[in-house]
Amino acid sequence: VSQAVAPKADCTLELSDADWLEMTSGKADPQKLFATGKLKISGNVMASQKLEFLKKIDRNSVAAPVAAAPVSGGGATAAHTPMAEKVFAALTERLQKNPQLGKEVDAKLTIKVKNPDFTQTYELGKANTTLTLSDEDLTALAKGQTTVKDLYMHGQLRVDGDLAPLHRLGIFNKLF
Amino acid sequence: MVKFSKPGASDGYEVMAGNAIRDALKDAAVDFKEIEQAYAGYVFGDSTCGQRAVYTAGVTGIPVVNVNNNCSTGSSALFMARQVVEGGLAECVLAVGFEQMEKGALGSKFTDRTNPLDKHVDVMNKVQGFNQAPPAAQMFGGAGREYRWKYGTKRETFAKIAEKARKHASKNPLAVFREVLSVEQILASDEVFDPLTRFQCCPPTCGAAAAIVCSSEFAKKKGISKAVQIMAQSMKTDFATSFDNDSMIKTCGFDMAVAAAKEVYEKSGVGPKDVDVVELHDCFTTNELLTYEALGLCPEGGAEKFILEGDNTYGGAFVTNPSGGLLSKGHPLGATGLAQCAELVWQLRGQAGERQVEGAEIALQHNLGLGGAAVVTMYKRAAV
Repeated sequence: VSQAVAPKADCTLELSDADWLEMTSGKADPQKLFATGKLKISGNVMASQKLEFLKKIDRNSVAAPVAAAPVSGGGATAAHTPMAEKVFAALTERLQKNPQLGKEVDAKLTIKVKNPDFTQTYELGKANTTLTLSDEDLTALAKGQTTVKDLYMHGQLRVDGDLAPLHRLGIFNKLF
Repeated sequence: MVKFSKPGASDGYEVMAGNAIRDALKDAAVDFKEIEQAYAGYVFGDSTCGQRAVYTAGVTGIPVVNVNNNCSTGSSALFMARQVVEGGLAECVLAVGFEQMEKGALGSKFTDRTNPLDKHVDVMNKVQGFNQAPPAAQMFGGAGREYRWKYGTKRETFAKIAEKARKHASKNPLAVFREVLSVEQILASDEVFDPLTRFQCCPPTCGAAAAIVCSSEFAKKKGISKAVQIMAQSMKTDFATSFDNDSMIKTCGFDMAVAAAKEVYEKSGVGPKDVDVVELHDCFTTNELLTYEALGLCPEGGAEKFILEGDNTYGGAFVTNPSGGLLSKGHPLGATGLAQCAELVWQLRGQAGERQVEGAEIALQHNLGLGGAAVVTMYKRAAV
């Protein structure tokens, strides 16, 4: 396959067709393939550390036969509908129905949502905690598809100020 | 040790090493002819760079052993030299470490074989994924993330370590980064891997350092004055906990450091409370914080309080990294462990100038490499 358009093709990856499909469908990790010798890299090795994008290729376009003509406008990632306002409406409703939940958080929560940007504040206590995350991740959290800890450890949830309330964010659980 | 410098601005590795060796010989008033063996540490370079470096100071046919243990290479060379002297196999041995580094973050040089850190990277992939940040920053930054999750440490607390490092380095003419920085400046520098910003990561550095290790009989015989004694030393490599705990803190060598420190405290008969000055492996601010706890300078979970109360600097319980540490003095991998040794020797002799820790009598060194090895050493002023 030679479809790449890059300023300078200086990093060459060699791997089996099966591993390529595994990698681009997110089942195999490029770093792991590399570490186990299934993925060989020549040229600019440091560029190989920027292969995260290969894991985000749309499943459908991956499944399509390689021989097929290049599809235009396939869309690399499924479009995400901004949900922040709905998430916060549901959260506000939950906190109004059950004020005890808010008392347990015991902090002033500032939630900065990115892409698209939206900021929401909840006065639930004295401690000051600011959370920054993407609309997509906030949605996944509200849907119970991920956890606060997982988002935090993966660097998708940034926390400023007091971190202790981080352990008391069950309020987001299954909002939908 | 020679003055550390940025990549591209240094002498060749053999010139730096030769200067460091000659300085050490002169300092000890020992002639190269009296050196019976040499242990030469470096990470990046072809085979036998150690000989080439030692030959710059003398070509006498002695055994020269090349030592490679990632970021703990320098102290591993010292460990070998100390063992051979303590074991009575030699009386006077040279340990030298040097590194001529390239610009940019550390990366793998050999891509056609198993990555020696693959087991560590596996844990990281599982716990936090893998992204485009420098791998070492992801490892130690991840350990910092995990610590914050456990104990709620503020971002500013890590930055305070870098602020202290710069303050200390401003008094060290051999350091690379001597400009004092505020916590605000440190936090405002580019984000490398949350919670690490650029000024919380040690820079690639070129440099060399050397030590002459001899028996006390040899020192007495030669009338060597101002000697410093190695009270105890321990090297530990990974335990199973590095890989089976899904913990970045453990994967980054916490348990190795704990075990090495424990052994050193037992062997030397002095505890953390007796220590006056510490050089520890602050490759990233997060690792300095974790190391306070690994060495028992403060209780587990107590590092934030320890930092905020100033117990890691002049006037506090310990002075950690008076040299400026890896963060500010620089981190030439092979030289670091011996540069830490040099700083502590000067501190114990009262020769550290403006950065002298008043009345320093007992010194502790911690040098860590992922892959991995932790070397902990206890020193005191020798009564020769």
